[in-house]
Amino acid sequence: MKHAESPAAKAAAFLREYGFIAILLAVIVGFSVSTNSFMSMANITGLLHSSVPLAIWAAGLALVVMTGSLDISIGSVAFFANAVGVILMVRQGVSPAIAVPATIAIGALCGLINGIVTVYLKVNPLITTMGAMFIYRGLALQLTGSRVISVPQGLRAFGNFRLGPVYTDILIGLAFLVVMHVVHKKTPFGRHVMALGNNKETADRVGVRVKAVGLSCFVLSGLCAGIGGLFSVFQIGAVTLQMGTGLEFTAIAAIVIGGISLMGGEGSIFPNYVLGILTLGIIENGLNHLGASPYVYPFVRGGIILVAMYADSLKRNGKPRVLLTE
Amino acid sequence: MHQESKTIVIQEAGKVGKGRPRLTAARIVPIALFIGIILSLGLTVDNFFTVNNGINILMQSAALGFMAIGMTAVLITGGMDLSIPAVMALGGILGSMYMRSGGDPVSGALIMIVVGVAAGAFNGYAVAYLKMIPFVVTLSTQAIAMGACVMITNSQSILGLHESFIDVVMSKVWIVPTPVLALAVAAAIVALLSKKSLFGRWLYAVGINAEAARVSGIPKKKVLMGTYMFAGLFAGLAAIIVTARLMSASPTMGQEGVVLNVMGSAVVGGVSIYGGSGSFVGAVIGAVVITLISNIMNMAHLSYYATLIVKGLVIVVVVAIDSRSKGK
Repeated sequence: MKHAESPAAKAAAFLREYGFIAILLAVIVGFSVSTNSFMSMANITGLLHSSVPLAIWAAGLALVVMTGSLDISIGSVAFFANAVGVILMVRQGVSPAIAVPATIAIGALCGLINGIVTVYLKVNPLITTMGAMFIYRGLALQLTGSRVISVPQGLRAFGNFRLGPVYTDILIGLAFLVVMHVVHKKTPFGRHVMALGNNKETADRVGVRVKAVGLSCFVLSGLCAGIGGLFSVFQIGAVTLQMGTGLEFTAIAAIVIGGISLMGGEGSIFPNYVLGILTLGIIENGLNHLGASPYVYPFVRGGIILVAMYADSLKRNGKPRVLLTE
Repeated sequence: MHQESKTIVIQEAGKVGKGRPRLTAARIVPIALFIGIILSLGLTVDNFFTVNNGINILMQSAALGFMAIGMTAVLITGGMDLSIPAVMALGGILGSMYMRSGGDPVSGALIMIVVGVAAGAFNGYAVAYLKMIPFVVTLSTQAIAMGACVMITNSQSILGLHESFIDVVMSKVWIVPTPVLALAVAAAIVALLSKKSLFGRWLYAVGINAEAARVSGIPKKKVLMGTYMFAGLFAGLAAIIVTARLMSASPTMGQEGVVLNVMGSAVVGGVSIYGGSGSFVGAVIGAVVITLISNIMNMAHLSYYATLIVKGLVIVVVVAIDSRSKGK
């Protein structure tokens, strides 16, 4: 895909590819200058701490997007899986050693169902996961009887546990993302994900098991949703009724801001995905420090994702248009 | 030469409306569902087959029907508009605030429509000219519009609508409520235009094969832009009905369950999410089916959550059938 280009075109390509870093720097500098409290150690660890659940939650979705597909059910999947898990612990007295893996397994199972319907029954992923979004949310609300369910004190402490100045879940989240990164960059599976996203037919012809890879990504997406949801529940200390609402939107925003194209075949966990998550976290944190009303957040977030999507479409339009010869 | 290929695409488009064999499953499902639901209700619920009850259900489907017509046009082009309910809520809120501050009802209603069309123009411009993906554009618009609703109202309801606004919109012609009549007229006009007018043909042509349509000289960008504005217009019309019926406006008008209903209406009405096929009358029937489903579940004392599950399943199953019949 690399052509000999003029310096100007190279610069433009560089901006399209790494523009998100410039945005991130601008945001950081802007907030550091306009508020006193933004650039403090406490705020930075707090910011990372609050970004951890989303970072884990949407990591699987990032892989789904790289295959050129989409999963907008991850918010509801996490809600459902965690509702079951917490109910098992609180109402049935099941030990966390069983309930936590069960939560993760239910997340993966939800992802498996999405994957089967999308990959094998060939239903448009957007419709499948939109339907799934309502189905899992409906199930979770039914289960919880639309009541907030608190988790046992011990687990709540775990969610906000610190080692010195650093929250433990930052370290766990980092380790998790490193594993995802290695899976994506260093394994045949990761290469197949990119092959699938670049061109499904070609991938199929060179022997990639297209369906199995597509399905695995959906399972991974559900799995990550289950785990990310757990971290969120541990931090908050309860399964709330709003858990995961609008999360698909935030997650897609983070992915696109990080420069991962929705057309698939592009992007990485480090740096793209992680920077996307951080940018979004920093913007919300910064707005908070500026004293903006929480009612403003969704509005701002909508604007940001729109700009990111526009940048993504520019990137796509810059590519040679092979589609015409199809 | 140019002219000829254009005619061919348009003829192709014309054929779709008249039904191809591959469309049968998608066509039969909504009708079967409709008849099945009506019959089972008629047999189990007292007084179901009464004129009053029929009118009641149609009244409840009216706003949904308007939004489903807008969604259908967008789906036919192969796009999707997730922002319809949010834009409807934003239009309703702005129009109601205008009326609350003493504005006249006609301008209030116009504001609702203008907000809808403006949002549609925004979506259309982004999709047609900036070549952005419809789903992400309208998801962003949805977030921005809902964000604006919450920001403007601080999540409070806007009360104090003009009396005459409510009276006129909720009036009846003989025994038929005006919104139902308006929906019937609108559906008839749109259905006729989609079959007979040039724009209607273009709509289907763009949905069948956008690239071929463009090559053959159809102004694809203008068609797309017009379609999203059309969807916005119908969101604005729905806003008038919803605000008058609730006698207030609030951000909850655009909550996510409504998107499910609108998508459900179109999909159950046999509109293909793959573009190029679907009828507006089908979508309106779909809206009645979706309303009936909500009603049944209400009568059976099932929770709101159970209706989410059922509607979600219905959408996925119908689209799965559509996908199979198309071999996608």
